[in-house]
Amino acid sequence: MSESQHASLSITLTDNDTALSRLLGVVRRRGFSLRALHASQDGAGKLMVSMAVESTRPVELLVRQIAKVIEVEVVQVQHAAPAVAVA
Amino acid sequence: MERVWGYPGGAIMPIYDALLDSPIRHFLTRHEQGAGFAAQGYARTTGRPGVCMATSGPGATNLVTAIADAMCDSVPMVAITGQVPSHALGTDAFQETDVIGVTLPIVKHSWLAQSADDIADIMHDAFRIAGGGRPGPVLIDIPKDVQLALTDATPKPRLSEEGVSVPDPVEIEHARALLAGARQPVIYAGGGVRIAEAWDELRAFAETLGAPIVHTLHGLGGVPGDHPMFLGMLGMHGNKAANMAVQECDLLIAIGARFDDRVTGKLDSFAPNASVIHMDIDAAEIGKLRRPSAALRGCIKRSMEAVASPAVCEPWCERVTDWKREHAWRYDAPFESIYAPKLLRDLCAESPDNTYVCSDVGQHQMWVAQHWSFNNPRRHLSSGGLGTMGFSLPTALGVKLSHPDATVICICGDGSAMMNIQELATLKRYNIGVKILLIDNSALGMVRQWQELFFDGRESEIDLSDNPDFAGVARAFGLDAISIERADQTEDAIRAFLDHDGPVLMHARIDRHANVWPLVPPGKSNADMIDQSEAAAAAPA
Repeated sequence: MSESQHASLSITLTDNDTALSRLLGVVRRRGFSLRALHASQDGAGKLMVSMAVESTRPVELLVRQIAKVIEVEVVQVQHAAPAVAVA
Repeated sequence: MERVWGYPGGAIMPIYDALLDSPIRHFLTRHEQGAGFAAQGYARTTGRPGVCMATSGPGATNLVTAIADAMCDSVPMVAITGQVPSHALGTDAFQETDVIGVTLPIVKHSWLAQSADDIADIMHDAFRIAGGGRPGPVLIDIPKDVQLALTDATPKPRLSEEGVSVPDPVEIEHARALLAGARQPVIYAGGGVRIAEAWDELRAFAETLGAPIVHTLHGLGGVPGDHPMFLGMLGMHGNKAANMAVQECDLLIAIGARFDDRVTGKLDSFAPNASVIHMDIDAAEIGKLRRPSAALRGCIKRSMEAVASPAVCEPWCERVTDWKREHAWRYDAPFESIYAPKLLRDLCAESPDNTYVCSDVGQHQMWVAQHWSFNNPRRHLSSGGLGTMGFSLPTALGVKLSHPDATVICICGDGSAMMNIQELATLKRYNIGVKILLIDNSALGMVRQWQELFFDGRESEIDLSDNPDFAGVARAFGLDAISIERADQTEDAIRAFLDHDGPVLMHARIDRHANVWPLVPPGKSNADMIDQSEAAAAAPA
């Protein structure tokens, strides 16, 4: 079993009623657990999302799947590191 | 858009009313799933989006399987659903289902139209997205009040079409170096060849390299079935020579293929000694399951042209040719009963070159893949990713309506035939000349085979010995029918079947215990593929 990794992502989406649902569905379906989420509108039709995810799968695989969501304009990995076990 | 398939209901009645004054031809199927697959029949054989329609609630959910199937097999499709009026959304109104929510994971994109002014732009985007890049299904949900509203909105200016994506030159150089150093290369080509209409380029590529080629289920026909360097389908029920070549190769060139588990068997033992060149339009497929040494993301035609050069692999080609000869299919089973592989081989030999074959899901699907010789991947339609029983009949009627001059054969089992048998009424209504070969083993054959081999022969809920008289069922729908059950009947029956004008069903009874061979046992490496004699030798006395 591969080691679990934490990653922080920032994503800019075209804002609409389904964009966030679509994004979060991709995260779950591709085998990543959501650990933190912040989303805000920028007032100009964009949704700015920051999220922390955890998985044994490489985060690059998630990034490529997120990039296929039609509303996604930018997706960037801010930070990636092995997950720290919490006692 | 010239034709749509669908089924009306309360929440989509304004659109159906408008259809009466439209040049678009609508075909009524007898179930919404049938409409979805008929649209796939058009899409899979033309490369253009097929359109299906349904009402809200159960109408929309009945489309879901066809939408999921299109997603798995990268089929361009536009599904249009009626929805309850905007003011009733979220109130649990009659026939209200959140179809946008239901289908989120199985569409490329979807829209809930909130204004009639948006419809033209949504339609334009829907067709562009469904057919662009890696194709797939999209869904447009339109509340009834939006359907009824008037608008004078005109579509925004068309976006320029996406350009052809060119692979990275650095990766091309990596690929060329890998090819120059390879001594045992194999080309592994999948459904992306059909989608990209790249069969001519693939053949040229294979012949320039002089390397053996294997196909996935959806790649079949990428090079003609009788091409000397074609080794057959690889994977769980592939040809043994194809699997041996992949396991022994030192360079695997994956073209429009996605390392599906039915292809690879145990993934970490798949092509264990090979470097991989992966060519694909979808960046998310590259490295998803197997990390390539050269990643050529972009147009596969461009990638093949850029990489093609003769390979140094004559001794290797001689070895794989020996394997191909050694593991060629045999048709000399000395049975009085019908041997399905031979029936399919003979039917293929007698069918016109332009024949479209829609197979269903199960043992017969694998027999078609093994024993039908395809010369173009668009001639073979099969639910490969989702594996949807009931796929073949409605898909075949969509193909025949789209290609009325072509021979279209639907090949199904007795289990799958019953999944969408209501579409016999659609064949009759429009006199759609689909030829149905129903291979009947009175069981859910593939499940029975796995229970026999991997569950100690404990048969659980696979018996279909109380099937109806399928020829009688066909006649009840107004179709002609032929029934055969002995090997000596097949020659005349094939002639009558192919010569028949109009829809016809040929009911062929086969041995209940017939299995698909060879196979890779679940969880095993493709190197562990076994054939019938090996399975018999391993069985407890």
